[in-house]
Amino acid sequence: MDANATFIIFESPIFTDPIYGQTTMANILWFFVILIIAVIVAKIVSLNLTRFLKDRVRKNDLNLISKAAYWVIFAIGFLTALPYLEVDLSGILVAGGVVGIIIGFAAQSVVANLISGIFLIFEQPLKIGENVLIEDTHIIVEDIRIFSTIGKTFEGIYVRIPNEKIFTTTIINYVANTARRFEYDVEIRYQDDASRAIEIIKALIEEEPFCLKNPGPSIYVDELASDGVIIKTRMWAPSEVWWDIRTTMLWKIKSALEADGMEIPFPQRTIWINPEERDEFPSKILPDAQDSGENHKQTHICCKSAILPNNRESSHYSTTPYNGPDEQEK
Amino acid sequence: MYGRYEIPFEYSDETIALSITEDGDFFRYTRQISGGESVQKTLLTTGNAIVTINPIEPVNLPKPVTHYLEIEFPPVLIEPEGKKIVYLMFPIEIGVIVFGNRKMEAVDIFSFCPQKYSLYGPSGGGVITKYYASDIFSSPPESDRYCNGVLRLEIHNKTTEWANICRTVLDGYSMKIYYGPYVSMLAHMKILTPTTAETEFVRNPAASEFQKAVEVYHTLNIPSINRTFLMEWGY
Repeated sequence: MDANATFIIFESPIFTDPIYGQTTMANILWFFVILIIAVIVAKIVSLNLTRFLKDRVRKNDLNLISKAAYWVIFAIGFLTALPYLEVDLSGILVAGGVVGIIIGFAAQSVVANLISGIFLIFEQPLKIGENVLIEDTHIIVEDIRIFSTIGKTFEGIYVRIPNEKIFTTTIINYVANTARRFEYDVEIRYQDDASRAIEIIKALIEEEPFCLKNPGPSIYVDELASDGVIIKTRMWAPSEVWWDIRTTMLWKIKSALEADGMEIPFPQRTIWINPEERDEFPSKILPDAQDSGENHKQTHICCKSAILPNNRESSHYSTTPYNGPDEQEK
Repeated sequence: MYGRYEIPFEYSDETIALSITEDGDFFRYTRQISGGESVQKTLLTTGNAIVTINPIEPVNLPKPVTHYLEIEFPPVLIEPEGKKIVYLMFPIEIGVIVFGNRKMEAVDIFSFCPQKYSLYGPSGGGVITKYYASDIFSSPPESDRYCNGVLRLEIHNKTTEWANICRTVLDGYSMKIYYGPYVSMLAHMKILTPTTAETEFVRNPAASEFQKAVEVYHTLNIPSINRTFLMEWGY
C-alpha cells in the first residue's frame, strides 16, 4: 500500500465525518494513540526507576515512587489527549488550579518531606546502619523512608525525624569516612622519662592491628603542665572499630607505662613549712572554748608559692595578742 | 597440616594441635596453639562432613573489616614500558573449612603472623587494607608455609615515564591461593598513569605440583572475567 492509498483511507468519510459534535473517528484514534504512548512511556520510566532505586530505597517506598511516576506520566498523557474528544480543559485547569492551591497549602510540610526524602535518596548523606548526629540527636540510622528517617538512640529509643529537617540541618556522620582519628592526653610525672614513655606508647600502637599503619600515629610531648608532662597520643583506626580501639588502648597504655615504673601524677601542691619564722614571729594566742585561761600556740604556715616579702615589718605580718571575745574594741 | 580430612580427625605438630572428635551426638572441634588459648566449637553434623585446612585470603583476622591486601616493599623504579617479575611475601591466614551437603563454612581461622591494618587513599573515599611489609626478591624466597606466602608480581609499566613503586593493593575477592612446597599467589600490576595502577590475580599455580586453596571470599565465577582493583591513590 503506497502513501497515496494511506492518505485516501484517512481522508475517507469514516475518519472525517463527525461521530458526535465535532469529534471524528480520527480524533478518537488520536486520543487512544496518545494514551497508549503515555502508558508505554510511564511503564518504561517506572521500570527504570524501580531498577535504579532498588538498592537505595525500601520496598514500600519504591512501590510508592514507581506508581506515582507511572500515574503522573499517564495523567499528562490523558490531559494531552483529552482535547481530541472536544473536551475543554480550561474549566478543569481552573478548578484544578484552585484545588491545587488549597491542597498545596494544606500539604505543604508533607510535600516538603517528600521532596526532601527524594533528594536524600539521591544525595545519600546517611545510610542505614550509620552512626550520625542530626542537630542534637545522636542516632544509628535504621530506615530511610520517603517522608521520614527512622533511627535508634544508643539508649535504644525509637526516633523519627522528618526528612525536611534532615535535609535542612547539619548532619555529622561519624562513619561515612573509612577511617577516623582519636587522641589521648597521657600525663606522666616530671621525674619520668618522656622519651621512654613515647617509645612504649609507639610499641603498643604498633602491636595493635587496628591502629592504622598509614596514617601513622603521632605521639609527642604537648604540655609541661602543673602536675606532670602531658604526652599527646593521636592514632587512626577504621571507622567500623574505632570505638572498641579507643576504649581499650587507653588502659593498655596506662598499664604498660606503670609496668615500666612510670606513674600517672595526681594533682598536688607542695606546702613549705618555714621553721625559722616560728621564732621570728610571735605566736597568736587563741582562746580556748573550754578553758579561756589556757591559751594555745598556732603554727605559722607558709605556702611555697607565696614568697614572703623581705619587709617583715609589713602590717600584714604583724601580730597582736588576742585576749578573747570579751576584750573591748580598740 | 594442609589438606582434606574426613571427620573425626586429629592433627598435631610442635606448634599446633587440631582435632574434630566425636562426643556423643556432637562433634567437637578443638584448636590449641602452643602458648595460646584453646579454641573449641561444636559441630552438629551427621559425620559425612569433610574438612579442608588450607591458606585462605589473609583479610579476616582479628575480625573482617576489609577485603583488600596491601603489601609495602622497598621502593623500586621500573623503566618506561618495562615489564618485570618480582617476588614479595604476604601473610597467611589458615582456614578450617567444613563441607556438608555441598555447602561450606569456615569453622575457624587462625594465623601465626602478626596482624596490621592500614588506609590506602584518603580517609574519605580510601579503603582499609590488611597491611604487610615485605622485602622484594628476584626469585621465590624461602618462606614458612604456615606463616608467609610468596606473591609473584608481574609489574608492567605502560607509561612512557619511569615509575617508582613501593606498594601493591590486591582485592581479596579475586585472590587465587595455591599451596605446595610453599604458599603462592600470582598477580599482575599494570602502571597506567603516574598515579594509577591496576592489579589483578592470575588463575594459574606457580607450578603443577601446587594445589588450589578453597576460597572463602566468593564472586560470580565467570572464567573470562577477572576482577581487578584500580589503585587510584598512587603506588
